[in-house]
Amino acid sequence: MQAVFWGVRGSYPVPGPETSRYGGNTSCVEIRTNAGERIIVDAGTGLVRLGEQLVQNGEQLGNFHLLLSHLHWDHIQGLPFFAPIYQQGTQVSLHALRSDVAKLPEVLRRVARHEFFPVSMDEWAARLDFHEVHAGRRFGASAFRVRPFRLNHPFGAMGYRIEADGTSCAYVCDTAPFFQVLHKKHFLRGPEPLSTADRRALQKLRSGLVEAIRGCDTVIYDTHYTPEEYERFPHFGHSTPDQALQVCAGQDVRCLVLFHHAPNHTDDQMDGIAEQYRALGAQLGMEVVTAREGMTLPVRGGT
Amino acid sequence: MKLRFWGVRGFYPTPGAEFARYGGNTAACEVRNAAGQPLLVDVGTGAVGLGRALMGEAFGRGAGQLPILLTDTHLDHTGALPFFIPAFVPGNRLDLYGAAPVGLRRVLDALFDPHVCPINSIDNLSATIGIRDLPSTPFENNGFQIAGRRVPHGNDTGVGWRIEADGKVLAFLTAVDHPDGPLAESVLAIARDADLLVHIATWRDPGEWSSRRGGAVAHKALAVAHGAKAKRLCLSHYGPRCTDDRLEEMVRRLRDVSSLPVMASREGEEIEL
Ligand SMILES: [Zn+2]
Ligand SMILES: [Zn+2]
Ligand SMILES: [Zn+2]
Repeated sequence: MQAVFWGVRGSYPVPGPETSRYGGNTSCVEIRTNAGERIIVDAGTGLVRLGEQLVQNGEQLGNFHLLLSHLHWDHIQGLPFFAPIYQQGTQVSLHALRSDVAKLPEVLRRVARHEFFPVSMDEWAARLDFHEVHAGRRFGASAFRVRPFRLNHPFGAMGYRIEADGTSCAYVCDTAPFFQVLHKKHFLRGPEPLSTADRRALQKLRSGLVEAIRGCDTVIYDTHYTPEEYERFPHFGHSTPDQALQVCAGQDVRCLVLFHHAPNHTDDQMDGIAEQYRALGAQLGMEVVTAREGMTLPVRGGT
Repeated sequence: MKLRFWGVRGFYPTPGAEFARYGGNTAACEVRNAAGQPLLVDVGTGAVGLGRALMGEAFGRGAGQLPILLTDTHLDHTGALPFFIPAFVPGNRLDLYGAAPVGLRRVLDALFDPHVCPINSIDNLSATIGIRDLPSTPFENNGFQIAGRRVPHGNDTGVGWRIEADGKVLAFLTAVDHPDGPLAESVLAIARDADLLVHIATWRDPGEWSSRRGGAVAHKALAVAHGAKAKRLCLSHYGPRCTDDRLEEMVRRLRDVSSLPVMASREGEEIEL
């Protein structure tokens, strides 16, 4: 299996000379089996390039599986510009949380309709179907086995453990660490005091995540913030590389991929982060890779 | 009056080397009158950088005022609003003007819907936000005389803006299609005798999208400029396939047949009227 990174940014796309090496497109990762089957995770602007390439290569498009972590703009805004959806004979199967599945056709119709995008969803040549995912309920998607698990993020987000070719890759994005409740459905102006029930819910979320990533060959993690930035925005729903390392340490994870970089992080800053956590990971016996747009990462199994 | 482009792309941002010279951010143009008062046309991703820069002025202490004219309500004209820092400072005043069949408020509610945006609602922005459906008569805001007209655009959301200050006229037509036949009266009225006309120019590959989706091609921009007797033409809102090289070729071709000065908007560039 291999993971191809089409978009690695969080929040919004950042074109420009300061982000040209790590890339400016928002979240989109393609997971491929050795035989070339694919599953796509998230539909940020990185998806546009993937779509262009698929059409250019004239590949038999057939049925796509697209997993959505959640519906924040940086995870869906590439979808209306995904070229294969304008091709007859393509079928896109979208997998998302229950509340998102309920909202998705409406949101897509709305964003793809007059007020946002120039083409209405009815004009899409591809067939779209929607599938609800449930935490812990595994499902098959082409050659892949997928296990969804819940994350700590405003309005809820889903992580996915994806297995094929005897290897495994987890996508953990977007998520905050587990000190603050973020998965509730109201606006947080700042950190809120925790009740006992909140603490218990957070503990459960964290242990669900740890269990899902245990023994994973590669874990792609939302490490949006540096520790200093996190102190200023603990209620924004994202983690730091240190928090990702804490979650993965001791769980037999071989490779941690830092992902969903903050839009204000320049390439030079990212170089510093990459080197710092590569070294820290090495001390913990874990390979730490910082995601770059265009990067193809082999997902290697244990020996 | 002077202007500075912070984003010149249409549809979606285009990071990448082929777009590096003109910039990959979506539509945003800062306009200043002689007194230094600002106005913003469109809130694509280019507006994020402007927002940061404005924090060094009155907006940093909650004393800023900014009229925002939307030429369209698609994401490439509105999407950076949740990331526009002055909107998070109490005391600032932002006045949004635009047109949509369902009303501007409902479009913004969709943009800030809690499923797609963690801000949850536009009402959670700390600044005072005015939301105005396209006024039917000219109005004044922050030292600018402003007139907006609906112009032909596939989705009924395109607005042409005519902005006047210091005896100069700036016209924006960055969300417009020109159906076959004579140019629309509304289009000509917006651009009439303008000192600078900023006009949409998409590059269209054969077979790219449907014609309904493409927006106006560059030679139509020239026809509008000539028809309205504008003094200078500035292209903007390029299509995502319009690489820097294609863009320069497009401008060269227009210059060959034009008696008017023609230029291509570029991220970071200032233009004095
Ligand atoms: Zn995100
Ligand atoms: Zn998110
Ligand atoms: Zn546009």
